Amino acid sequence: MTLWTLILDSDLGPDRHRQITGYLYDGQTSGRSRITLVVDDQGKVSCAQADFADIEFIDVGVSSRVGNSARYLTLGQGRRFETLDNEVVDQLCDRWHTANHGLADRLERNMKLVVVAILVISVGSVSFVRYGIPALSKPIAAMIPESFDQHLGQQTLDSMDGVFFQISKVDDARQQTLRQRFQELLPAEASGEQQFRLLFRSARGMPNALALPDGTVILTDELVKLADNDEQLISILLHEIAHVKQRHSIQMLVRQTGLSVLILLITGDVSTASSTVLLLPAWIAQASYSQGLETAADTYALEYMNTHGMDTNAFADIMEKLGAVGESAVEHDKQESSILDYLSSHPATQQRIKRFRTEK
Amino acid sequence: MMRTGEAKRNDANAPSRNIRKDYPFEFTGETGEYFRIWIVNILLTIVTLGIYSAWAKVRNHRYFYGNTVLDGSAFEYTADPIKILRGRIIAVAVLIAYQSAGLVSTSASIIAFALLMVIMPAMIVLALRFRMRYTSWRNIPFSFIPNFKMAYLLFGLPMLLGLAMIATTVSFESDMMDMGFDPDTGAYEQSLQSNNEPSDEGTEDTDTSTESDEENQGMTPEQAAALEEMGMQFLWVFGGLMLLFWVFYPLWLRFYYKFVADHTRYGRTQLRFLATVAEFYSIYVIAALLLVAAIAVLALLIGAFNTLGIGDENLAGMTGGVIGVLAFLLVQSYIQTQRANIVYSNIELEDIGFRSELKVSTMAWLYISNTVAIIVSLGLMIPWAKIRVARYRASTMTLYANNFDEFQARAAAEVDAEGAEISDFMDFDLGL
Repeated sequence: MTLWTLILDSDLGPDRHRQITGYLYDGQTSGRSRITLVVDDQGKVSCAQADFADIEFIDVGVSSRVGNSARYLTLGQGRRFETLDNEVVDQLCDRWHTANHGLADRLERNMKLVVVAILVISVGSVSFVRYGIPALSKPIAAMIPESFDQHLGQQTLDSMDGVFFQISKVDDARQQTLRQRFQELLPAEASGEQQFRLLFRSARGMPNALALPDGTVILTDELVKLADNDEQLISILLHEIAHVKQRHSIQMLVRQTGLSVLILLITGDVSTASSTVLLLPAWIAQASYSQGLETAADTYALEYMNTHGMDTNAFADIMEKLGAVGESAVEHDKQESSILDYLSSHPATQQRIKRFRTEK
Repeated sequence: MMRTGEAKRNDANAPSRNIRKDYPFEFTGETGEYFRIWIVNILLTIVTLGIYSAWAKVRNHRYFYGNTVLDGSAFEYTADPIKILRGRIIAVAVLIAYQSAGLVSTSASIIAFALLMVIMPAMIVLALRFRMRYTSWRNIPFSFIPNFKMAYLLFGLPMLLGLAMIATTVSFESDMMDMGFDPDTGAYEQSLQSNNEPSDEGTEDTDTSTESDEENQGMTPEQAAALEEMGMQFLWVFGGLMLLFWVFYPLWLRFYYKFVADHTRYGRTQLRFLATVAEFYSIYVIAALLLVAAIAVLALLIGAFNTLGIGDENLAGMTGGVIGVLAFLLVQSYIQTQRANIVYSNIELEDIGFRSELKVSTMAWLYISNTVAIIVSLGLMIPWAKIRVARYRASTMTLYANNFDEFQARAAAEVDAEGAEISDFMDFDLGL
């Protein structure tokens, strides 16, 4: 039904009286009486069962329509009249009330608008999540002071040291060599706050490398053992340096915040049962953000290695070894891409390896 | 459960029982109609960058209240969207302040958290007050008489327990640091030198399974023993506090509902809450037994999978996961269903009583099928799910009374929306 036909419908004939039936509550007690209100063509309200002296419909407060639920007419002296005759009340309001309170209701009845709303919301939110949030996260992350990176990095390291990491058993000479190489990889324009450093930790059997926002890069003993040579570790360090340099942790924080705000906007008052359900799309979106950042870090490593004449196969080799171990927590694991890739924090290993083998 | 409540009332009001009549609640909302309201709410909320959300909330509540009908009269939600909007703005400001405290420093975020905890009971009281004030039936509003002293007593005790748990954890961590665990090198200072030689015992491929004997290699035996003792001590204290929490939770819950009912009025008439402590304990004891049974079944199944060697690891994991989720949902539905039945069946308003007869199986089915439907429809079936639940809840609720025409109205004061909004925003369950 369009707005236009609604207006036509409500065009009352001059001699037609309108009747509304419902319950009258006096506001003093919970008692009620069933009455019929008659509104004549002058807009005067009368009632056979109760005494209404000189009430004009213009002065009657009418609650806005919500679907076909009961409406309330405020009749003065605390009296309220509850009725289900929504169509007649609408017609009376159209004729006698100048202010338009039924806008939301008209939108809700407009089938075209409902269809448009579904499309706008689904396409809009998906593209906002897919393109809007990632595009916005960089400039917003730039506004967060770098002291926060320091704070966050230190905190993460503290808690991981407290519960997970063990002392490294990589010998000093190897550590020194790798630290030396690491220093040489660092971008010349590294800003003052970012103090890059390389740490070694034993990680209960998990070959892994991670970068903390404050510039701390950690290699686990297991990964050092897994690598055939330093070149493979260097390629991984480049990937981790990219995470720090491009402030991926902060960008991820910003993106997660954006996602929560969007979910809050869409759901509003969604009850607890359905809000747990929203974890799934949120999870998919976060995984896709994470994959995007991993790919960006791969790109950085790939370009660096190509411009510095290094063999990009080193990264592919170590990724293959990691894939074979299959147990690693962060640097992922699967050989083939599948639907589950949407839920994974890292792109399919096979695709990453292929890039480093072919893009030269 | 509801039988007990009814029996209690029978004793107290034996003469009036005969003339009391049943009045079923009914829910008249329809999926198609609500879907339009829901989708337009979302559209306008997004278009107005969230400002419309206050109006959306009112329309939403008005739909559900207005379609909940008792003896031909609907419930009415009368809150002013402007007040809700103001409350939301304050809530967002508080949340931003809280988040930015976390950016400043750890101690600032601890202080912010403490402040939030300190005002929380007051916020809950204000939220209850707001919600009751703007709910009415037959033009007589409900009201909640604020009692901040009681609220602080009620919420303060569990908060102290939570605080003790946090303190235990923090002190355990700092004790570990005191033992010479250096977070910068991940090393135990004294032993750093003695462990320099490369350890090549573990071959590369079997490395994943050798953690047990590597566990303590960074420490001297004395340190390891001390650490282990400390860890055990921590587990005992923390576990004890946890146990304390669960042992007293049903008791606390009963006092919480009693607190809410005792301070709620319909017109001038105060609600009464008759549920006994034992009724609340029965829910959680049975739920715990159900949980133990579910875990046992799960363990047996996993054992069967392992010995028979059916399928691969993934299949076993998936099956275990699905069964685990189902068991969890079942226990969850049991608790929620029984709790709702006990709470509603034990509310009394003068000689009016209620009966809530939700079935665990039906509620579990509703939750599971709703979850699946919402996921499959990418959220478009949320309205359908909400209407279904509302319809079932109303259909299992009965009021019995001989007369409800004579409740008197009271002169009520206006309530600000802040309390309702802060709690709403942070998604607290204040459901009575």
